[in-house]
Amino acid sequence: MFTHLHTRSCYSFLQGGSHPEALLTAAAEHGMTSLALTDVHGVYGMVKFQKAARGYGIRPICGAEVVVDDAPLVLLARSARGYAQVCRILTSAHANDRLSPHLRYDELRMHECDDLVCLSGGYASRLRRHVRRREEHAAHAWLSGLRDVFGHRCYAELSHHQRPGESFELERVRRVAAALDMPCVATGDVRYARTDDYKQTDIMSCVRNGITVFDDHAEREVNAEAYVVGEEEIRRRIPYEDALRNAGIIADACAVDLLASHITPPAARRVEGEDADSTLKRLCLEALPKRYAETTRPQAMALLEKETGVIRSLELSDYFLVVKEVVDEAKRRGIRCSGRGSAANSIVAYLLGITGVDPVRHHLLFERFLHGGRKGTPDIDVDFDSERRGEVIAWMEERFGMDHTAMTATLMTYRLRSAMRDVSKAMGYPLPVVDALSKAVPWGSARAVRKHRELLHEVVPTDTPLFAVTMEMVERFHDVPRHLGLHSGGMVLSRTPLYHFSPIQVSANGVKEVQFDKNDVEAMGLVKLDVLGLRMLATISEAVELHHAATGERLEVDELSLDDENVYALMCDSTTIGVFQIESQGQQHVLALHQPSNFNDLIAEVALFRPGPLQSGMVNPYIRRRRGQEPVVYAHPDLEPILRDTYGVILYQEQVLEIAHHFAGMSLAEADDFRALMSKFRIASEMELMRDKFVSGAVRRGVESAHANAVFDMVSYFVGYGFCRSHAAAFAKIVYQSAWLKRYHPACYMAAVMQHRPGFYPLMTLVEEAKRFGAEVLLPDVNHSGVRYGLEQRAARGAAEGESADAPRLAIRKPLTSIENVSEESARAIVMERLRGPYLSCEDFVQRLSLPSDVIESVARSGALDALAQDSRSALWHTGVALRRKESLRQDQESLFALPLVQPEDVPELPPLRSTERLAWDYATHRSARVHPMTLYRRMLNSLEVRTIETCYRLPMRSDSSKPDHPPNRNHTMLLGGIAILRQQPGTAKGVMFLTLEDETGYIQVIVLPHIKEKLRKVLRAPALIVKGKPEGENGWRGLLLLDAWELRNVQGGYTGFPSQTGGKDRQVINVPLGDADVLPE
Amino acid sequence: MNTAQKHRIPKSRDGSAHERIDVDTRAGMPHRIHYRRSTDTVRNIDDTWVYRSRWWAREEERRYFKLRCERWVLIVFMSDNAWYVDRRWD
Repeated sequence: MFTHLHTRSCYSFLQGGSHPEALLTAAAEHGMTSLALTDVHGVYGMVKFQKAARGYGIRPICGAEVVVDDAPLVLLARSARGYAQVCRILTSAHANDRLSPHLRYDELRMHECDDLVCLSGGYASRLRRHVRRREEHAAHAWLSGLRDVFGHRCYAELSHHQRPGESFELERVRRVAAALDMPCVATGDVRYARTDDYKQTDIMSCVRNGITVFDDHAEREVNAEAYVVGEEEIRRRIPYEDALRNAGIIADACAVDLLASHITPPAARRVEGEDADSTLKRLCLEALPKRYAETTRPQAMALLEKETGVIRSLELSDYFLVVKEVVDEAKRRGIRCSGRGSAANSIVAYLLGITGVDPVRHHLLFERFLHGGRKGTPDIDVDFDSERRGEVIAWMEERFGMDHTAMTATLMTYRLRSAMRDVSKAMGYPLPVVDALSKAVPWGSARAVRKHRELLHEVVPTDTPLFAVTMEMVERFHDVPRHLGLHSGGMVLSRTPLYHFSPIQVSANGVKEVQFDKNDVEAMGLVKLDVLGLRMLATISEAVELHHAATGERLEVDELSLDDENVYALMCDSTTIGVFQIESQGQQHVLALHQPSNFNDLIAEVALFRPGPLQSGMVNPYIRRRRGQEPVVYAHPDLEPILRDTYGVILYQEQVLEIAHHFAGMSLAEADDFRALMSKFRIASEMELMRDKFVSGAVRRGVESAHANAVFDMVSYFVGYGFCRSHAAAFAKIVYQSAWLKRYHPACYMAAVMQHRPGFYPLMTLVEEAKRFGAEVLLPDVNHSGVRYGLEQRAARGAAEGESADAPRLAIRKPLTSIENVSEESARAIVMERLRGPYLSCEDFVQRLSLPSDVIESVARSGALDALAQDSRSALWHTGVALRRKESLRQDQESLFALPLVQPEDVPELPPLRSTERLAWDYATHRSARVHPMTLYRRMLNSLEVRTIETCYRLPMRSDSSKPDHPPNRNHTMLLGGIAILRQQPGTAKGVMFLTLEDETGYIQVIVLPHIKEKLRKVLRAPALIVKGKPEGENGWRGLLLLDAWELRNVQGGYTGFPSQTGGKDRQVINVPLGDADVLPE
Repeated sequence: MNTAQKHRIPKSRDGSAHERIDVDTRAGMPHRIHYRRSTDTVRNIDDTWVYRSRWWAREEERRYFKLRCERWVLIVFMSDNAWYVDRRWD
């Protein structure tokens, strides 16, 4: 039976058109029993290919295409050793050139290749190129060179895609091979599964080469013949029996299984003569008396015994010890870190110092993290200070060896917008249309493109040429990998060198990574540790350091008692901008309803606002029961011990597991599998199977069938993502710490938030929030600003009761790096030069520094030189003249000190900046203004009866105890105006959009129902808006149910995206220079 | 719908329409051609290839045959069940 030995899948990144499953399906239809996967430059799809191959009963063969001396060779691994050789060769190729991996022949010779089979390559190979050009000697020399490396395992490849003259070429290849006594092998040189898949492969070629389908290019295939052909067809194309037979012989000789039956943990450091299990137990026993009082010690001891038993049976002791080593090292270096996720359910992790949440006190369930029946390795996620995570990774590389560590990859696949962009560009649409088309569709699966046909027809008319083909191709790009990305923190640690598992390549920002995603890594038995960077930890560290630098006092945020009333009052007031996890408008709303008053409430608060509880509709029942507004009821008395803490509703993953275990009688391992399945969206038939299992288990325990079904229904609503209690508890601690810092040290905290930008809001909003908390925000100044946000002592204004006396006296100074174009390097140069004395004038500033003109211009416009000149316009003029004079003096070789750079006659009478100019310059240079943009339009808005947002907060609302005498008027409508600072459309909101508007008095959440959103779709994209709606509210939170909206034109501001997702940068919708242009719609 | 509409006559790169030709086949391969009011027998098929371009415009694939006949050497192709002459040498 013929075997395809040269096959590309879509894991060749735009050089192959089909998924491995599709290739296997096609091979199976032809009755083939084995199939090779040889993707370009890597083995990215190999694990998925091997997994799928098992399902088809096809033997998978591992290999890859590697470029040697500018032409592809096919390498096939005969064994695990051969696979490691492929990986090492690919690693070298990627090390040579990240974007275009390749090797020189002499480099290939240096590698061990004794367990590899080499095929000379298809149409684009060096052999075929020589043969095509009738360069018989060169062809002979090349094949001879390959035989020197691979010996008798080198084959001249014969592939035929029905191009002109290809049959003659194959004859000539055979002649060259025969002269060397080298065997030939027939291949399909497969690029896609079926002939129709040629279309998307052709589009991929166009995308890869930056051309359209109307352009010629050597890399575009001339026909659709590179599909998985059957044996009959391959015999017709390549009528050489020996070559066909050799394909089978090679296939039979190759066998590599990447799917491991055991894990390969890294080797932990331990005392000589003591094994990992004993070391783990000893360390835990040493820590136990320090962590637990005598009263809880027996319970903790029993838990520890159980856990160490499971860990030992799963051979994970080494893994736990390694994580401890990493956390210990981070702590030793003063790097803030915190274990999160289900690992916090483990007492072993707690005793080793990996996590900070006590599983005994918080009744955490170990089985949610680990149990004897678990397949694969558990995830231990540790958050590190995002700014210093690199130090931890560098230490890990040094400690465990460069060959033993690498980051997990993420396969970036096409989604609807990216597919629409690339396909429409390849189809030849003009670039502005391409841009408009991709922005017209929402985020989501490319498969859903036809649902958005009407949106697309708003950009292009219905009779647009090629529109139907474009739609079809976008659909076909569903889930196609586009490139390799870097996982946010999954560090692979291996006892054996990683080249036994994967080639290693280097990402764009210089990080070593394997070629597999986290699921593949787990399937190979590799262990990973999630070394995650959390901006909030960096923010807390920075706030503590800023406070220490300003006051000399060290804040012990890790030792807080977690019960401060003032901190909970801040949360209940929904003034949580900048606070970890609870700053979104949705969270602020839930806070207003929930009114948390202790740490357990806070854990629930963190878990409440997640898709699981939201979709199950359990948020409001929980809050009403928590506040005593409705009775606590249980679906069955047996659920009371499990759900007592959460007033009878399911909030945490552990509760689903416990219900399955205690109520439905499943084992803990079965219950965890049940929980994992229930947390996913399922098809109806799967659901019924799960119901049967659950109900029959409960009935066996004596529960009535009707009750069991009711409880199953309750559990089944808890679909989608929910937190486990341990994770919520770990996060709640950080929430509390950040809220405490904001409450008592707002200047330090908000300065740190502005520095690290961990959350949702643009800088302008953070500046306004800092002011609301009494922290003045000072503009950048060349004689006072540093490289980072800093604090300055200001005259005391008197402290409120219960406040630290330092809080109102500290002001935030914006750094030089907050100015557009000023890099850290430029800012450092300004600060270092300032050590020799302050800058005395704009001329002095220009003369003493060698900064590019765009940097000096930005500094002048920002106001950072205002203290040295009349105003920014004058500073800009002075620096401009000084720069030109300095340059001309330099070219004339005159002494810089011969003449002053700026003469009085060089500077004319300059008009002062108008307020609109000042605002525009501020926005353009340091992203926030001295006054809020809406201030300038207030008079005009007042004349239209557009109210300030603060007005809304003065209206009485339901449950608003401060205004009991003024019941809310439900038919009341208001007109508000503001800039749009956030737009959110969570999948759980059933089409509702949440728009946050901000003016100079505050911010408000505008709730846009689906039919209004549809009606006002274009208006709602505007950066600034006037909105009309019905006010809603609860305690300190206010919202507006939108009825109508109008665009407010030419107002500076308006944002898209979240700073925490865009590297801490604000993404402004518009950045128009403000003039006296009208702001109202025509 | 007339024949011209049904079978869009393929055009060459210079824009001119390809000349139609009648071809008798055996097992899918050209055996005899009827060209310019005479019949010629195929002595040898020197080469075959497939060309597929403009798939997005629903253009059919072309199967090319380089034929050595009694009188001519021809490159013909079949597209959408019709045969055309691409090149001819006397």
